[in-house]
This record gives sequence, structure tokens and C-alpha cells, in this order.
Amino acid sequence: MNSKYTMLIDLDSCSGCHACSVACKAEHQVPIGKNRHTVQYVENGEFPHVTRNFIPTLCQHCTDAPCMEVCAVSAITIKESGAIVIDQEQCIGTSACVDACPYGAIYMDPTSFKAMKCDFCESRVEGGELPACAATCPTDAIQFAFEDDPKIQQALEKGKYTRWEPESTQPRVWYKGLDHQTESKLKRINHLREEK
Amino acid sequence: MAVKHIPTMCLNCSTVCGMIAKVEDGEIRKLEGNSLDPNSGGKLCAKGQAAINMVEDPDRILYPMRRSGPRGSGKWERISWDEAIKAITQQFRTLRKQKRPEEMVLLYGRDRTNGFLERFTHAFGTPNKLGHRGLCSLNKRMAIRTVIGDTDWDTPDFSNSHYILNFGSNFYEAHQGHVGMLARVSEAKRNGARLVTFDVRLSNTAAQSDEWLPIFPGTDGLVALAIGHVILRDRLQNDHFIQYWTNASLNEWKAYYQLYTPEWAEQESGIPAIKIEEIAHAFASAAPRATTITNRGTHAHKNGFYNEWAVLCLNALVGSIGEKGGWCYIPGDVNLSVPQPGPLPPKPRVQTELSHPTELPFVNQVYPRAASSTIFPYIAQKKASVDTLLSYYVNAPMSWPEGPTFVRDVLLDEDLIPFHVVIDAFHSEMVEVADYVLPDATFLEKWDLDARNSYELRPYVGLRQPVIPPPGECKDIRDILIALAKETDEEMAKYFSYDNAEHFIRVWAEAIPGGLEQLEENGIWEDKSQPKAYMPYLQKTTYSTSDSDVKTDDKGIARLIENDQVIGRQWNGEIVKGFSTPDRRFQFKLPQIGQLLKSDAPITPVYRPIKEHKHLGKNEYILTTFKWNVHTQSRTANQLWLTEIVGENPCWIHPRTAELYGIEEAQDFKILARGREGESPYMIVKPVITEAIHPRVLAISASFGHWQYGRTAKNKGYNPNPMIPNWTDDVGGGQSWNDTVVLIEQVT
Repeated sequence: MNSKYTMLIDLDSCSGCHACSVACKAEHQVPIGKNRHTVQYVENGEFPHVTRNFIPTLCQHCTDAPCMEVCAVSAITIKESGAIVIDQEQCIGTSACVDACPYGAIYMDPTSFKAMKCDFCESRVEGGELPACAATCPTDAIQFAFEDDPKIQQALEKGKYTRWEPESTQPRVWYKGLDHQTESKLKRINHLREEK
Repeated sequence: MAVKHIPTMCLNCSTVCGMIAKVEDGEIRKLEGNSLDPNSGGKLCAKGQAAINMVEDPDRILYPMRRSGPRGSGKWERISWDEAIKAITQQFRTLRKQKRPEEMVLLYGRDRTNGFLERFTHAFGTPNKLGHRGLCSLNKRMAIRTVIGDTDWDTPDFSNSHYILNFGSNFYEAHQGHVGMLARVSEAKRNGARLVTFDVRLSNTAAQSDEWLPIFPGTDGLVALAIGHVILRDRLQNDHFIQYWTNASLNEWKAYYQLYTPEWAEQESGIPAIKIEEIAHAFASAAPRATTITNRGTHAHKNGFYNEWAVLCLNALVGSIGEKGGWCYIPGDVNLSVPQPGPLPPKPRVQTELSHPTELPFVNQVYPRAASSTIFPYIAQKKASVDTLLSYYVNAPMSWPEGPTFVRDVLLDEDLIPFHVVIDAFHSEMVEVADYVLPDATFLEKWDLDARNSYELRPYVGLRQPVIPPPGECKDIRDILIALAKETDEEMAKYFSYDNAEHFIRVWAEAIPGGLEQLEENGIWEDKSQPKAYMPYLQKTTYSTSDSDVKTDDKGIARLIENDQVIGRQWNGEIVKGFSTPDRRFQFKLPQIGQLLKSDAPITPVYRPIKEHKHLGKNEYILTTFKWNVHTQSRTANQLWLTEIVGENPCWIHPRTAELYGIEEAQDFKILARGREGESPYMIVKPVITEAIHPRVLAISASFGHWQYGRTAKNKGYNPNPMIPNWTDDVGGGQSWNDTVVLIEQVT
């Protein structure tokens, strides 16, 4: 397998409905108060020229992943598919990765005390399904495929996709319509409440 | 054990999307969409997926109960089903023996039994099967039903539309048809369609629109009339449709619209005249691939009926009705597309002030038993006497206007309502005021055949089947009604000769190709042999102009000579169906309004300014309500995955307004209702200070403010309903949710 997974999120289509984040919660039994995937709302402008952007946020599956670097036991690895995964057997729960992730995408599971996050729905994708978030998106705003898929190629060429990249992490998740002002207001996924 | 995939239908909102339950060891692992559903296409929203939380609510009612203290005391004793059925039917028998069956009132919130509740009330002999329609969509339905006659709900062909003009519908978050609509509109937008939204608030629909136009509440109809004015002034109308398919001439339309200038509309609505001109041109030039869409922003007002009618007329003006990409509709009632098996009981002849309120004659004629905001005031005024109230799947004290105050007081009064039986799955605010409580199964534990208007514009039907057994002694509503009918008397029992809900559904489903077996496996049956329902009014009839038993008059109306029955309209040498109105045309004039209402109610779509909004003081504001995408009105606050996303409902207020009163973030403020009799209701709320709302409007979401409903829901947020008076549109009969005038005060 040479090609790697890519997720494209079209903010011009996203309705902010949270179907994706609840699908993720249900699929992975994510505990209340923790998120692998959540939709952020960002408002800009003054009445009556107000905009609200909806931004599904999840692990960005960085090519250069800060979480991997800090893991003392190398429990975080990059798969051949490009997905960044945390090996639950290996993890010893230091939570260094939680702090290292610039997106706040990692949380400590309150029962197992191990680090957890989005794994691009490995279990579903292996069975030929789409990740839970992409499968249920009512507006097809979330696309998921190998990067050499013609649809992905075409979208990337035409669609002005950019990345949420507070550091040079080179994510595998691309956004269409993510302007600088909105990007600067995005919060870390598992710190939404504290940062409000 | 393998994971079973069981198809069923969602009912966590009224969109009823097809869903697949993944079930393992008798537990629901996950709920996903069913790709065979023509509307949702296999997508399932946040609410649908969170229905697992509902099933697993630790505070569900599991057994029949009888109150053991005063009504409302919260003291209950567990009883057996046998005891409950015996006690209730004893009361039923007395009413039937004493020939006063109309004193049994069935109040329901969400009747997705598609006829079974009515079977029960008809068999009982009471006309009082009363719902929440008057609180929900009555003004809109009244307008569609009287103006085109074929249906009471629109099904715009969004997929093929180039211009979507949205008056106050938040279909990106709620609306019946939600997922199917938003999927199609977002696709149309990717293909270049334009979406323009009028709303007092930047809803998520407004946020995803090409333009959000903040409008003053209750003026949508005027803006629609002004758009019509420009269309006619600049000769952008579809002459053909107006001339042949409406009941007024082009000159009548023109003369009538002259009054409604964009300048006047600007004064009242705040929408710039130049914007109205621009929209009129864009809408007309996109026609016939142009459509309007409306909902509570348009009709939940005292002038809601006329607002809806004015918007509807825009589609007639540009000739987009029934067209590909236009304002489409599906003739008939989709819910009755599979008729229920007989024998069906006759409709009772008796009428009451609850089923047919004298002051709403137009509603009684067009949409009987649909007015809702009159129910509790009339019971309080003893305009109708009630012996037994049977409440099903309805939470009136929580979610009705003046619910927590006036409605709750009426329900607590044993003189007004001597006997109250509540069928509910949860400890709702309605259960609080019950005498007997019967534990309902949730929708994931019960049977039904169901459907909604399909945006694919062809018929389909879906199956709701139990994916797990009901817990404790909970029962499917059909099982409860079958048991009640059989125990009441033989006369009632003969309409309920079924062993149980499953048996009934099995017999009912025989009318569908493949029967129940096919549905159990696939969940959905769609009639793909049917063409899409474009131009239903041009559909040919079986009659011909040369038939000897048919006559046509100078207006082209075709009748049977024998009995004068209207059968259609002459068109291009054929007899076509036309619209299901008296003269088979789109109604720009409704003379029956004038005949029925002795008031000065106009017979054409008019702008009726809201009396209470005239002379609005500088310190007075309009309080409105709305729904979030992750909640329904009153039934989702117990679902953790949803309350985690939205778990409170602070009040939206514009920064300029907040500044005037020195209101800052996280600082409570007071909203006081203006000019009510006695002590004015007020509420103290937290603000959300946001640019995303009209400066003269406050907005608070429904869904919160439970004082019952289990540990997850209870005591979260505010219930705005004590503030919102029982105000009805005196023509359309719908509740005015969005007209409440309030004052703002600082809390010291």
C-alpha cells in the first residue's frame, strides 16, 4: 500500500449539525466530556454582516506528529496508511501526548487511564466502510479516501483546500473555506469548555 | 454473538428517517441511517443517533402507576396492568353508557400511529382527538390546504432548484424533513443554487445561506408582497400561470399588489427596498427553478396565515408551482397512502368547543380538531366539559404556551379534569399531573408503518419495528389501546380484533408489495415505478371533453352532468386534474373567509400588522424561540450525547441592546412580559451577547427548563413558556409563538 488516507472537510457545505461528532461518540463509546471529534462554531463580523463557520475538528493525523515525539514508550505510531494510532497495550498513561498535541485531540480515558483519540475509524475502514463521521454526514461535507483517489485529487486541485496547522505538523486533514480569522479562533478539541 | 442489523424508523424528531439498529446480545450498539430511505439517503443526524440515550434513560417509567397522594404530589404506587386497565375502562364504560363519550378527550403530542389513535376515539364516540398541530404548523397547513387544496405541506424540489427563498425556516437544524432537505439544499448550493434567508436570528440555516436578511418579527408576509409588487411592476411574472391557473386576472393581481411598495416593506421589516428589488429579479429570473420555503418565522404569528399565503403566491407569480426545481407538492396525505385495515369505526357526529371552537369557523371548515392554543383556556372556562383526559406522548405543561403556569394549573384542577390518564415513557411534566400512568414503549421498541413527504417526489413507506423488547412492563401504544378497547365493551372491541401491535401491522402491511417480511428485512419500500410528482395539476383524468356525461363551464371547470360533481378542468382539449380547490385553480381569493368570519378578515393575501407591535416603545423587544439542531422541543433533554453539546439555553441579545441595559456576559438579566392581566410573568436569564441577532429581538431556545423528566433533563436552563401567551391567529388558528412583547431590566 503506497497511498495514504486523506480527509477533506468542506466548510461551505458543513451545516454544523453534529451528526459526525455523535456518530464518533457512539462508534467508539467516547465518555461524556471527552471528544475524538467535535464541531466548533466560530462567528465573525458585525450585525448584519455576521458569519458563522462550522468546523468539524478531530485528530489531524499529522505527517510530523508532535504526540509521537513525546511518547516515552513509542505507543503512538504512524501506520502505512498515514493514520496516527495509539497502541492501547503499549500506552502507560503518562499523558505527555495530551499536552503535546496542538489540537487537543487526545484525551485520557477515565476508566483505562490510557490516551485515546481518532484513529480514522480503523475498525470500520478495514471492513470496507467509511469512518463513522464521514458515513453519516448529511451534506457530504466530509470526504475520506486514499490521496491518489481521483475524486480527492480533483477536489484538492480545484477546491482551495488548506490545513489547520498551528505548528508545522503537515496534517492529513484538509479544509475548504477555513479562513485565517476563523482558524485563529479554533480551540483545542478537548479543552473547549475551559477555553470558552 | 453476531451483531444484528435491524432496520426501523427514527422518531427522535418528526422527520422519521430510516435507521438501522446494530444490536448485540439484546443491546443497541449503534444507530445508523438506512440508505434505502429516499429522504435521508442513509444519513442520520445527532438526535437520531443519540436515541440510545433515550432508551437507556435510568429514569424511565417501567410499570403502571396510580397516584397515592394528591394530584401533583409526586406520590405513586405501582399497580398491575390488569388493575390499570380495569380502573380506566370502568370510567370509559360509564361515559359510553351515559351517552357522553365526548367527555373523553384524547390529547396527543406526536401521533405517528397514522390512524390508530383515531380508530380509538372514533370507536369511543368522541370527536376530541386533539393534538399539538395548532402550536406547530397550522397556519402554514391552512394556507396550503385552502390555496391549492391537494395537500397541506410543501415538498420543494430542492435538488433541482436554482434559487431558494427561505422565510424563517431553520431546516438546517429542525423542520419536518430536516436531513433530506439539508442534504439536497447543500448539494444544490454546490451546483450553484442561491439560498437567501429571512430570519430574526442567524440560525445555522441563515449562516449557511448566501445571504442572511435580519427581519423584524411578523413582517415576512409584507416582504413577500413587496417582492410580488416588484415582479408585477417590472413584468417578470408568468402570465400564463396567472391567467389560466389562478382565480384572479393579471389586472386584479397587479391592482392588488400596487399598494405593497418595497419602501413600505422596508419601513416595517427593516429589509432594504433595494434588496427586495434585487431578490424579486433574481427569484423571477431563476423561475421555474425557484422556490420558497417557510416555517415558524413566517407563520408562528398572529398574522401567520396571511404571511404564508403571501409567500405561497410568489411561486404562483413566477409559475414555479409543480415545476422541476420549483415549489412542488405531493397530492394526498402521504400518511394514508397505505390504508389501515377495516372495519373502521364511523366518525362521531357530535362536535365540541374543543374539537370545533366556535370562534375559529374557518379552521373548523378546513382543518377540524387542529386548533390547540384554545384547548386549556376553554377547559378552564368550562366551554366544554371533560371527564377523562387521556394524554399520549404529549408534554403540555412543559412545552405549551403558558404551560408551566396556566396549563399546569388547569391540569391540577380535579373539578376541570376529574380523571387524567397519561401514557408516557418518561417522568414528564404531564406525568406529574396524572392520576394513572401507563408506561409507553419508546419508538425503538414499537411497531408502525410510517412515511413523510419524499423529496424524491414519489411514494414510499417504512416500517418501525422493535429492535429490542420494551423494558419492565412498558407496552406499545397499540397494545395498550387494543387492551383498553377490548375491556371497555364489545362494540369498541370489534374495531380492535387484533392480538397485538405486531398482528395489526402484519395485516396492515399486506397492502405493500412483499408485505411485512420485505419491510422487516429492508425497512423501506419505495414505489419506483411512479414518475416524480411534477406538475400534479396537469395530470390527466379518466374523463374526456367528448364524454356525454361531462359538461364544462365558461371557466373551464369540468363537472359530471348527473350530480354536478367537479371532476377537473378543461386544458388543451383534455380534462386534467387541476388543483383540488372549488374551481380547480390556485386561490388568490378565498371568498369563504369573508363568509365564515364576520370580522373584516380580508379574502386576499394581505399584510395584517401585529397590533401588539404597533407603537413599540424604545425599551420594548420581541421575544422569540427556536430549536437547536441537537434538540427537539421537549423530549431530548434527557439524552446525554445531546445535552453535552447543548445543555443550557441562555438568551440571545444584541451587543447594542445589552449595552443599553448594562448587561455583560455571564450576568443575569430580567425579561418582563408587557401588559398582561394581573402580575406580569418574568424570567431571569443568562445572556448570550451576539451580533447574530436583530437588535430588537431576544431569542431563547425551547428544549430546556424541565422540572421533571428525570435526572439528566431536570433543572437545566430556562422554560420560556410562562412568558408566551395563548395567542391565536384568528384566521389560521395557529399559535403565535414569536410575537411576545417584553421589557428588559437589569438584575441588581
